[in-house]
Amino acid sequence: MQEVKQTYEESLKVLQSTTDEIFDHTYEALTPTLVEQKADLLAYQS
Amino acid sequence: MFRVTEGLQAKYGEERIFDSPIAEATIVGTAVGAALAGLRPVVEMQFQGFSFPTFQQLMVHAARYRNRTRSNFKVPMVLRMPMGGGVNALEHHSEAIEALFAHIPGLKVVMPSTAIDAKGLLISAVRSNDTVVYLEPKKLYRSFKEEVPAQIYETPIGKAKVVVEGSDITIVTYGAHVHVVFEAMKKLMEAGKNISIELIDLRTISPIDTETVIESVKKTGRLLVVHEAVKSFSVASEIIAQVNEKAFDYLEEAPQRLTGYDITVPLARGENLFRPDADKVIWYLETKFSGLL
Repeated sequence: MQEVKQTYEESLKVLQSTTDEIFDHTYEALTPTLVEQKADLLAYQS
Repeated sequence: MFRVTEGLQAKYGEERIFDSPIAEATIVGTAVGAALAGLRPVVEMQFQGFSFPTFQQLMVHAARYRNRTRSNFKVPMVLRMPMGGGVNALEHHSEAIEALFAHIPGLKVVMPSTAIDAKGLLISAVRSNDTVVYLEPKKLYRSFKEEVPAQIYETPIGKAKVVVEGSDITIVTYGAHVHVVFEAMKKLMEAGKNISIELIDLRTISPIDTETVIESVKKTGRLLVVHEAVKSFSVASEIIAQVNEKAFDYLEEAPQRLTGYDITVPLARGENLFRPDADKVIWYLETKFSGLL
């Protein structure tokens, strides 16, 4: 069990999501609100 | 799932404490019937993300039976469930949909941030003659320990708590994010930043304790609302609307919302981008308000 947990936690480090990945698949295209929100996250990351 | 009912069946017997099939609508429908028959059922749902099938029973029956019968019948039921992210869970396990429940007239919605309030709010919920949705931030289950009074006591539904008094800005939050904001405040203090934050733990989502929030904003002139649920049509939106209606002349700057984004909750590996954390609270204070930091 410990090994499974460790492997899962390691995978989370390797497979980090990108901003594009989390924003770009809720709708066909970003809504005006999401354009603002994505810009907000990118500004925070920069 | 999180052992919150561990030992209850052994203590109170199989007639009062029992497992059910995993059929959420059936569970809540049965509880509505039990409440109408004079019992006070407490339903434990395993994850908020699986509560969507219950909306039929909640909206059509639990929330409106009192109105439908001109107060001749009531549904004193408690629907408790783990909510929110922060534990790297899978799809449907990290939802924060408190605003959906709060949008239904006839339901009350509470969310504790401490063990003391978890007990007090649960007792208040069980004693309430209205249906109460009792939301438990799963991030907090294993986060900290706290001594809880042994006696029976109530944390009043509809009453927020001023956790820390301050004069520069009011931060309103609830659930796990009370601790996130508190962590941000500690970081600011350790960094020698001179900012006086008034931290309000809402404790009850619906009905909102508008009075406590308004009084605070009248004092500080600034407002930031923090939660992990999506931004649009949210609890933060409602609070800011109330402040604009009742304390607009006291505002020195536009109120702000630091929340999750209007997207499907990301899977575990994207969670850190979605949920507000302490550093992002500090970044908001730095960039969204002039002259605070």
